[in-house]
Amino acid sequence: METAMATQAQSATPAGSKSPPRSPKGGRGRSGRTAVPWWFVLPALAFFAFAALVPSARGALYSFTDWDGLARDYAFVGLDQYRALFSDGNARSALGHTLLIAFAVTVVQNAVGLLLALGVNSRIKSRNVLRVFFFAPAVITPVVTAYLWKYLYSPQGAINAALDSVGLGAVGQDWLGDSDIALWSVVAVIVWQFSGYSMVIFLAGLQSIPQEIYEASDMDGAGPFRRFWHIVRPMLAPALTINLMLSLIGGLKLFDQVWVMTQGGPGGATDTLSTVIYREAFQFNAFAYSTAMAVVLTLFVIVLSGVQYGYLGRQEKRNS
Amino acid sequence: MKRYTWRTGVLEAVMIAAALVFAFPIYILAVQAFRPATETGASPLVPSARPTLDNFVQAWQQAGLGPAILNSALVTVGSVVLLVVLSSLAAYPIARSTRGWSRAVFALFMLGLLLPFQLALIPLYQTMRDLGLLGNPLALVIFYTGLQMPFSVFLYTGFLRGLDRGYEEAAMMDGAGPLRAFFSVVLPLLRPITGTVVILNVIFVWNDFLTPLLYLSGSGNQTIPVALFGFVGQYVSQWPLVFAGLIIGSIPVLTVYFAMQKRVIQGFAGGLKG
Amino acid sequence: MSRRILAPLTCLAAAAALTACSADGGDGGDGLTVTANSTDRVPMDAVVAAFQEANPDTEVTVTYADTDQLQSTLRTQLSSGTAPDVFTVWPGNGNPAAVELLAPSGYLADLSDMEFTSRIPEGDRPVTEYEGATYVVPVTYSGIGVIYGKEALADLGAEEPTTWSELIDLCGTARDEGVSLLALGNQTPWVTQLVTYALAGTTVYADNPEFDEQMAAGEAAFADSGWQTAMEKYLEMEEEGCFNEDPLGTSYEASVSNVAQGDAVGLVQVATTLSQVQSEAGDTELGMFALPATDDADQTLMPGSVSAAYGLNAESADSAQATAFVEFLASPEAQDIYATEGGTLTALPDEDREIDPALTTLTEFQTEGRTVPFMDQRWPNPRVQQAHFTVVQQLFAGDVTVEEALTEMDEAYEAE
Repeated sequence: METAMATQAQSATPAGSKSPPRSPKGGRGRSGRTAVPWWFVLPALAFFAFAALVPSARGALYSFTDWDGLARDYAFVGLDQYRALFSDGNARSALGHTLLIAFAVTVVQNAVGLLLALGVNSRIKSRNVLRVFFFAPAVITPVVTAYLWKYLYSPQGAINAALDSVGLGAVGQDWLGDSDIALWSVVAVIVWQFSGYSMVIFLAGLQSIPQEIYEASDMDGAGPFRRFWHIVRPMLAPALTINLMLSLIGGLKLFDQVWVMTQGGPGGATDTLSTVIYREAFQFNAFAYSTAMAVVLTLFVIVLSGVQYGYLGRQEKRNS
Repeated sequence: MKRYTWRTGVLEAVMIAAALVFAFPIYILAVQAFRPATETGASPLVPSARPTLDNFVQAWQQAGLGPAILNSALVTVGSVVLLVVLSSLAAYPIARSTRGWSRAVFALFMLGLLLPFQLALIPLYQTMRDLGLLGNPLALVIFYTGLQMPFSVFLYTGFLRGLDRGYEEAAMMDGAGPLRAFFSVVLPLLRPITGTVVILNVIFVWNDFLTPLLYLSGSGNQTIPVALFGFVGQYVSQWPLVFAGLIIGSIPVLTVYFAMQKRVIQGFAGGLKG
Repeated sequence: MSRRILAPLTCLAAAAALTACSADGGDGGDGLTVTANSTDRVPMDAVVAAFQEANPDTEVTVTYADTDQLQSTLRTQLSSGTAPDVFTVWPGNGNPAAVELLAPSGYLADLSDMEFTSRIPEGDRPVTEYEGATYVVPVTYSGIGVIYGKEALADLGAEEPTTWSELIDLCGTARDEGVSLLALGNQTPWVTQLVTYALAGTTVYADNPEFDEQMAAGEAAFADSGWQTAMEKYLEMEEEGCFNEDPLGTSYEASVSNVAQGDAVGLVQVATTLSQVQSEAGDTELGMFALPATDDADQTLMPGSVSAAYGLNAESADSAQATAFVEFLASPEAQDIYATEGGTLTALPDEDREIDPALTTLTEFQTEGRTVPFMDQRWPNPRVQQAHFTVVQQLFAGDVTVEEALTEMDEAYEAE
């Protein structure tokens, strides 16, 4: 494929020039000469504005009304919905769960993803098969995997049966039914599904590290841990940034899996902002209130991911 | 180059063990799906001694998966083609210009990654109604193209920033218009990341559930997840049948993934070089 | 290459501008659109087939969705003017798509002039009406009781318990035999309410039939009422080992499997679940009895009410096809098909109909007037039901006391 691509690219270059012209290292400085028309962004922007930006803004407007989601008209009530939000205990505990899930998912999913990436980036013979394998759960519909896990987690389900069969029956739990564990069981499903996703991004980062650097460190006699810390870790910074951002955003917006597995139960132990928003909007006749919550969720996502991005950006700079 | 030492052997064993743990849920899914409906009370861990394809046949017929696969394919292909063309086109000036507007546009797109779905759901539904697009798969194509644009632009921009600009400059010096230069030179160069963009968007569009339920409701046009969950709702506790249906519904997207899995990793790698 | 990629683009632009390629929207065309719960797929498909046989020119498209999805899409469609012609409406109140929530906004057509309204039994009228007018056609009648395998009960050497003490004894007998008397899938929110309803039917309404009216008038509350007894008895059943282990980790689906596979003798469920259990259990003969809550068997009341009901979109009120379909749903033929295929009772009584033997107890209670409506159908808003789900789960987790649980429900009852 690579060769075919190169040939195609080459054939488009001026006849007679056998090798593609290489721009010198400082090529970035010459950008003025090859101005790319700015209107290239317009079609994409139009679709994006039409399907996401404008309707989201219009949706946010409902948070200043009293619309119940059904009535034919509504009135503007200013900030009333936001005021109600501050005294809503359910919303507060859901916010707590959301932050906990987002934090746990971000940490664990990336730790597992990184270990997997290091593993399949080694000389092991099965590395290519394993790469495909670990990413596969990320391909399946979240609602399908959630449904499957609900079955696995049931007290007489496959997980407890498997623990039993290896003599660990005592470790068995009522995974989704115990309100102290349920939240972590949900986190485990997300980690299972998306660690492969993180792995692929880390793997890409690892593969962009030139082989010579490894070899140089080998000659220095650096052990694997020292090598990881001083050479691999700084080079992985861009991959880490993307991974942390994606998992944090995903964790904060989590909905499908929780809704299918527990609907926020038992007794609200796994309620997230998204499940509460959904319930307020479609089950409780409180559409305007739910959009106020959605606006607050959006602000949380923006602030947290902004802080994270800023911090990681500084780290990356320091490393390079 | 390092050789395969005993340490590598240990690592290999550990990784395979990890893979088995990861595969466990899928194994259970398959064990159940091949189990005859009459076989009840067996351990969930042990495959049936008399595996059967009956569940698959029955699931296929009763969930109406045939037409649903066609609809899903139509929507997925339409959205992904538009996404690839438009997001790469948009990422090009964003990656090449360092001016203020380019950074602002990029930031605007990134904002799209953060918006929760609940905000836009109803206003967009009303717009689609006003355009007479409800019940029409085209509504979904427009929706997904807009919704997934930020992530696609993000991936393309990252890749483009790391891409040598020698080819395109040569093409433009040759007198090709910017659009022609883009399609004949730049887009082919983007092939590795295009693989990533395609697979990630296929996964998303194929799997989305709430939007098709809302937009296609009442039209007789269903997508796979909608058909599947109507089916799950009906056969609640008949796990073998339900799991067979879930497998059928996942096969097309898994096939695309297996066909393109190499590209996914390469594409990401390209995107990170910048 | 560029042309190939641009072609669909231009097509799309044209389509968006002119809506030229657009097929008919949800409300357009001359077909009839129906939305129903996916649990009702089999009976509804059969009814639609019969309707089309009589009206071959009408094309009927039915969309099925789970309760959650059904409620959310329906509300969106109604407020956007794109709802189907005929759709599932929950009787009474207390549910996001219930008569008393949809009718006030004018989304439901007034069906009072239709012939079937005179055939609605007196006791079921309140949940089909809003301000004196009928807004839904009731199709099935369902009740809550213990659905059980006759053989499994006989294996315990027991008969249907008629008093609370017999019930508790039977729980012990079943335990000794290594099975649980009742499967309980409290992981699934809507399942949590069934045992409370079955008990509250007796503990609340046997002594005080006016309880709902008193609640509405602010003269009574969940706290310190028969609800307290019902909740305490619910927990007593749990302590006495009446249920399977880990009810909070057991889903509705798993509870049905438990009964079908003989791990439990029965389960407290709505009659509609009979067909679900039957289809998984095969030839086993099933029965149903009322859950006793006191030691006076004559006091026992059974929750029984209109279950499936359909409303006519106000905007489709002039459509001959839509009204014809609603009238057909009320016809003895359609009611019979629906009830037979779904394993339930018809909502509009039909003397000549042969009844599934498993449902005889429910019919007896119905004819003797010993039923009470499902409690949520009388609650003023959907929050009460949700609060009930949550507190039952919390009670089983040991996180709250019965008093706290009922206070929580009272607060939801008072909410807007």
